[in-house]
Amino acid sequence: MTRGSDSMEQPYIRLNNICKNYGNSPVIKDLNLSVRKGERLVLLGPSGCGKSTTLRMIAGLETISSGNLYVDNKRMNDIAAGKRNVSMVFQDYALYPHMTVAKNISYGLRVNKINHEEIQRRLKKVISILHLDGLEQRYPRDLSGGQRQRVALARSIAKQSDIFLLDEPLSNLDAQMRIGARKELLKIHQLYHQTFIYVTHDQIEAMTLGDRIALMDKGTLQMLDTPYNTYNRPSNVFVAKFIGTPSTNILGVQFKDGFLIFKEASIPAAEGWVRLIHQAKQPDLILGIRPEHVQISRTEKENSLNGTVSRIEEYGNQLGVIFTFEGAEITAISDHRDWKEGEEIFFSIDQKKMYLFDRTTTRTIGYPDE
Amino acid sequence: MPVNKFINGRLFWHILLLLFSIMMLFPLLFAISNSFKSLSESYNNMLSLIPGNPTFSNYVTIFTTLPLFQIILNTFITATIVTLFKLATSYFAAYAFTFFKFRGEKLLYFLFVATIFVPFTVMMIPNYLIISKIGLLNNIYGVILPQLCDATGIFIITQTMKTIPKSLIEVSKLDNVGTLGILRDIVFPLTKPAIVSSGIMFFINSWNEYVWPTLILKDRINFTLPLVLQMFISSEGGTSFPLAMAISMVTMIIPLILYLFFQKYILNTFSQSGIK
Repeated sequence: MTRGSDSMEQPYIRLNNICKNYGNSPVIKDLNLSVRKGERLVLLGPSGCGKSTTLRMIAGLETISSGNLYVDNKRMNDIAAGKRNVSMVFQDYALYPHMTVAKNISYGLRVNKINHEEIQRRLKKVISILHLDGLEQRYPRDLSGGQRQRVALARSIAKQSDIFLLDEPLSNLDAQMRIGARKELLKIHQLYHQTFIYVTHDQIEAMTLGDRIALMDKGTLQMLDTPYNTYNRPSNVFVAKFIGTPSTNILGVQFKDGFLIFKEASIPAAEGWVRLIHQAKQPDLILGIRPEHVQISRTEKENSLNGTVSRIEEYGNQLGVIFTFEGAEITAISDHRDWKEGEEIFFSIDQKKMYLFDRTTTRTIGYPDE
Repeated sequence: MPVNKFINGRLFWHILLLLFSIMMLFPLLFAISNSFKSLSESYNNMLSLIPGNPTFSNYVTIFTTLPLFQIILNTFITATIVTLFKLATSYFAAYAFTFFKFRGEKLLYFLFVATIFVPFTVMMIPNYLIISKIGLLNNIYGVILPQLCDATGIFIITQTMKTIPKSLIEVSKLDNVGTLGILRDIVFPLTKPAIVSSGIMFFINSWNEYVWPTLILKDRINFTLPLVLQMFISSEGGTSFPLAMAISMVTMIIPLILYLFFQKYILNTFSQSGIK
């Protein structure tokens, strides 16, 4: 689970066996997570997976039902949100509608008795970092969505807290503005080196912003690793299917006498896989292969199987070719544009790029090149 | 063609509005005018809107024969205390109902709002008995006490407060702003229009309250304005119509000044409710 994390470095934020229940229904189940100082961690997952709840527990906006939250080795469970030295950017930006941009940014600082000169200095700096010059005396209602989002960021930065929590801060922006905003976030991190914890359901955002991604589902942590490993070495079937579009093809296969068997069809398993399958002592497997690693052609090759094209999806630069094979639907991505629905094709899968999971636990049995 | 259209459409509405304006304004002008007429002129020429011989004598009479300054003060103290208390209780209760999560919250809110539908007459006797037991009969504080909190204000202010995004409160909490700070700097400015309009409503209702003070107050020196007005309409001074009109003017003037002072907020309430 913690593969890829550096155990040499002392974790800054630690969630130990954290559980959260609403009434009798558990939302977070036994969550263990550690975040390094200055790291950008992304909490990713489908809606309702508990990622926002986790963030809000770290912020102190939700109570922790059981387990311990440590920041810098200090137990934080019962520390009030205002004393935790965290700042947070909300999905709806949470700008005070009755305060100007400048007041929105400085209000929290004034409440915390920071002196006037220092407030002015910070205000000036964040205004210039986030290109809000000239908007200081405007009210939030007079700003565009992108400007509001930058004001929310500016307000959080001005606080200069060590922990920076972001709850889907870009989800209200259009696709074009998101790209710019992502750059802005990275720039802010380079300037201040806060510990980022970023919640999103958008995997592109997670990939581009995260040093590591914590992928959650139904209140449990599925995988905590670098974006590269999350994509290329999924820890279980959920991760393989969640990350990447179009989704990873999943086939229930059986291992017998060196062959991977799917219904009537079979392919010889590569040597590395055979070793892992023997180690796992589990012949019932789930095979995962990304659409870009399924090669299709009109001519038969060694170890290729055949299917019938049922549907073609246009991606602009490429085509998604969906074909049926032994009753299952498999998606392949092709640079060629001349595929026709109904035609017979041959396909092969790149065993170096495929995943095998234990069918009972849905966990990976390992990767041959490890 | 445009003339025709005007006659068919706009002109019709203008005439209708004009009629309504006259219906609304006439009694007021009628009262103002008669308060400046002598008794005989009022009898002979009651409907004329411009007094033939304007006179202040009615005003002089009411201020010299009645402890009118005391009565105005009584009415003002009653309405002010009632308004401020009701606003305070309503504001804090609304905050609790909006931002606190507790068991039975919805039921409690329902029960509070349900009291709006309890008729005054049902509460009249128990309230009277309680006030008499604690010795506040014939005292304006006996008038004030049962009015100090009321669910109408809780309802109006809660409905407005519910439109404040929860994240605003959360972001303040993260900034270490205490509950009082949140109430003062965040929630108050955002609910101010609702507070001011409820306040004006409370003030005018209390200012005009008649039945309850009648039960409690016995001596003129403790009276509120509506009771004095009633004196002149009923048998006691019933023949002196211009005097009654002069008292009406006195009764009207303070809420009117208040309205002029706060009208900016009232208009704001209406214009803001439309824009999200």
